[in-house]
Amino acid sequence: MGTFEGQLVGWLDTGAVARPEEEAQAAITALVQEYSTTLYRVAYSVTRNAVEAEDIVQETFLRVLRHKSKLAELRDPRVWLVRIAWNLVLDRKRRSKTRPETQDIEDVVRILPAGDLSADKVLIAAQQHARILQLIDQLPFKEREVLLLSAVEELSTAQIALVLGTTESTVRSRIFRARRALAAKLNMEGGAR
Amino acid sequence: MKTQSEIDATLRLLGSAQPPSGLERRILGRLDARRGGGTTLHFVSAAAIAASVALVAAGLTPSIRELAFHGTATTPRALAPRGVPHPAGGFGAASAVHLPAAPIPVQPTPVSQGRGRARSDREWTPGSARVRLPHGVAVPGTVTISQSHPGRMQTHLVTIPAGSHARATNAVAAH
Repeated sequence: MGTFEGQLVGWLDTGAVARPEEEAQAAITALVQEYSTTLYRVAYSVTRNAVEAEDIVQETFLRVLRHKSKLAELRDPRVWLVRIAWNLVLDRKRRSKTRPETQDIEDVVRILPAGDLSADKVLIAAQQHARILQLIDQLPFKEREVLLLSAVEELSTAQIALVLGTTESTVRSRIFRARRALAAKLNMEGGAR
Repeated sequence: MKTQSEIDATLRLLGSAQPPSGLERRILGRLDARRGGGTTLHFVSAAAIAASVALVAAGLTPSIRELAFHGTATTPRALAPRGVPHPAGGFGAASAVHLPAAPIPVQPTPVSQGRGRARSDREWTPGSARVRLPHGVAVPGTVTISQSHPGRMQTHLVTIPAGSHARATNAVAAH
């Protein structure tokens, strides 16, 4: 089902009946508890800003509240929610296009897992991650979005295809091309050094 | 291989970012605030609409208006004017006899208002200009037969002297 109508039929269960108000609220609460972390990661993969990512997650659920009548018909809420959040991320990114993209090392250090690493090693790892993230930002848009969504653990290739409105094979080929281009850029930088 | 592992590590780090603590609580709180705000807003707007409709209805209905604004509902009904039946009987406006209840006073005319001068004496005001009639213009008066010369006629000319409205009469003998 590559078409939008096909995806829509896949998401919506037409046999379901509308729930009362209380059940809709309970359903939204359950969605928040189950998918807020996933949506945060999706938003953070693009914004790389904790405040902006949280704002996008909240805006996503506000939109869910606005369309709560559709909740009863949802079959795959994860794809639906990620799609809403992804569109919000892209809108916000488009609006703040004039702002220069800078990769702050402190932001990367903040998301690094706390372990037994020394401060020097943490700094070196953060610098390396920041460099790769900068190179990811230089990739073409379609390859970049597929690569960032594939980084979110909770999303499968099929779900990424549904979110982006494309096929699984397209997603796989874009991921492959993106990784190859990224590796080439990294090797080029390493050779220059 | 090292490059691929570096890419994997970075993507893994990006995709496993932990949300700040209390994210769910903040989201649910904001949703509750939106729900409550929306309900209150709907209630206030519905109440305002109902109040305005009630006010308009009260203003348009005379009995409710009296009751609401004057505390009484004893407004006498307006009586329809009684028609005077035609002596010969009949219906419609053609057969109706309209008798005034009281004598209709006669409207004062311009003469009775003190402006009863002859038309030739009045001032002529075309537009805003104020033009006086020329004085001393002779107008034909009366024609009499001369007693001394019966075959001749005498014409009395009426002139208006300048500065006054008195009339003077000059007799001009007609030859």
